[in-house]
Amino acid sequence: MIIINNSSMIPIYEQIVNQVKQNIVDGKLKEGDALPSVRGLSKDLKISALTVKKAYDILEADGLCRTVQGKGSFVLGANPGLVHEQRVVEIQKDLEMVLDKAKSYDLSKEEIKDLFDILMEE
Amino acid sequence: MRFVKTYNDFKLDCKLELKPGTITALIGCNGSGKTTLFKLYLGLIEDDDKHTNQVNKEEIGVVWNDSSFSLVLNVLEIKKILMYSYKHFDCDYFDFMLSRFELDPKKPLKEYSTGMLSKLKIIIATSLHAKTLLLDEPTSGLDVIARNEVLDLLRDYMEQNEETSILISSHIASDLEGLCDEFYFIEKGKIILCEQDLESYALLKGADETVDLSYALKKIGMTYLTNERQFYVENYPNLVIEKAHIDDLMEYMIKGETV
Amino acid sequence: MKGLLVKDFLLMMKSKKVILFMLFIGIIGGINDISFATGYILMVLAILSLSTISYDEANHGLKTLFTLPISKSDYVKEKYLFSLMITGIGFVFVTILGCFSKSGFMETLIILSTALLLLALSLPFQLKEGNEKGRIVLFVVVFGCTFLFAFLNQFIPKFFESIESVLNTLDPIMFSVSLLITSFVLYFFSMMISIRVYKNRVLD
Repeated sequence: MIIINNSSMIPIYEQIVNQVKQNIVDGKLKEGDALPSVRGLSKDLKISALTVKKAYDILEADGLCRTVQGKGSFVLGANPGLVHEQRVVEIQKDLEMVLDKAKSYDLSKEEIKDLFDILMEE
Repeated sequence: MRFVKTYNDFKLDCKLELKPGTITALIGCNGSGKTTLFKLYLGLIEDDDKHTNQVNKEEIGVVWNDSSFSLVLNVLEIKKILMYSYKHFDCDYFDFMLSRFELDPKKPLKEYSTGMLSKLKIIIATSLHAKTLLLDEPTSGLDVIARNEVLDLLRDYMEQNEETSILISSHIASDLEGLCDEFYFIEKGKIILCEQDLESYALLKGADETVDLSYALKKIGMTYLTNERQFYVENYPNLVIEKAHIDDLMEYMIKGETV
Repeated sequence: MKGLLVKDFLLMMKSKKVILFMLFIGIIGGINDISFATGYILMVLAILSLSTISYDEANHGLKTLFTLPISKSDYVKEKYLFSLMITGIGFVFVTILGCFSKSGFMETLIILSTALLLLALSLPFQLKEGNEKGRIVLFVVVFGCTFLFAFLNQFIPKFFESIESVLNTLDPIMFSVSLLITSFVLYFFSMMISIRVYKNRVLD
């Protein structure tokens, strides 16, 4: 299930690419699975077909899917680089949250760095 | 395709391309030339060179906003006329769509509401399995629910007939954002903008001297229109940035001051 | 063109009641005077067939009609064909209705020719300008002729007598048949003129 946020500043094609990547990492999309047809997805999401096509082109360029003329796009399976990349993005988000909280508690940059070093040594 | 037609007080001069598998929007105010363009394309009027565009009308479905078959006829009668007029009229599809939208085939058209009439016109056009569909303001005068039903109809049709070219003209553009692949903006007979990617456009509010406005195109008051949304999103977290919708684009391109 | 013919027949059927009423009047009137029935019925049908043009043009209807795979000349030809067919049906009806007297049949042919001439005169105007002006032309022609004849009769009484005597010398069959052929020819020419005229017509 791909969900897009129309009000977000993240371009819609990017949202689609990210969600498909996440689905592959999570195992919801397995190798050989067909992605929804361009027209089908554009109908469901109520967006232009060109946007969907752009997302699929990017996925193909990243080596995540393969488009067969007349048949559709098929998942090529998660490459290790992708899984790692998605995980890095996840950790980054978590860290951003922690840092925001620390800043709101008025921890200084030094205090945060010290804390980080201590934890890293454990 | 180039369209040129001069009237007493108006001149249409623009280029527009209809591509297979693409839904194209033609957006403009009333009197901007949309209907003239349609008429030229269909060969209903001749252009300035006295040429009449030759098209195969068997393969074109048209929906006019202000015109239909004679209102005294009912749908069954119109179906007969269509069966005898077109080689590829799909009766089964027509009947199926009529029942899906609960349109009474025995009622004369003059007893149909605006919404029902619009749906009927689209059903007629799509029953031709035409390669090209020209829709002149198909959602004009419709309530929200009817509008969405009409747009869904078109989406279904495109899914089943992927090589069709559709040209939709409208002056209410919000419907078209979630449907069309290519957008032509027309004003006073000229194409002022042709875009595929509306997502790169944004409105910038509250831009002070610290903001680099080299990517701003137009401004109205203190709000700027830009087509480099990501640049501003990434570099100016405190700037108020809003998605620009089709109506905004129209307004700024026509009424805005060039920056 | 088949689609257009279907459309026009369906449109005419909308005036079913009017047509039946007219036929009824025609039959009643015809009991006394068959030529009244003939003239009346044929004229009524001819004029009614023109009414399909107003249906076509109402509410910007031509825009839709011309998205059908027809050309302007197809449209014009169909109108002529349709009017001919309707008048033909009327002719058959009246012929069956009338006592099959020879003179009655001759009169029917003459009236048929008149109906064709009437159509030939008014169709180009109807098609060029739209139904309103066409109707005016129709009335002008009909009343004009009536007044003309009345006038001529008043002031040149010998005019009609001399015409009658000339006509009486002709073989009635030859006369009515050649009149009919002439009106067919004129009808055809009218169609050619209308096609020319309609080319310049703005479709709205």
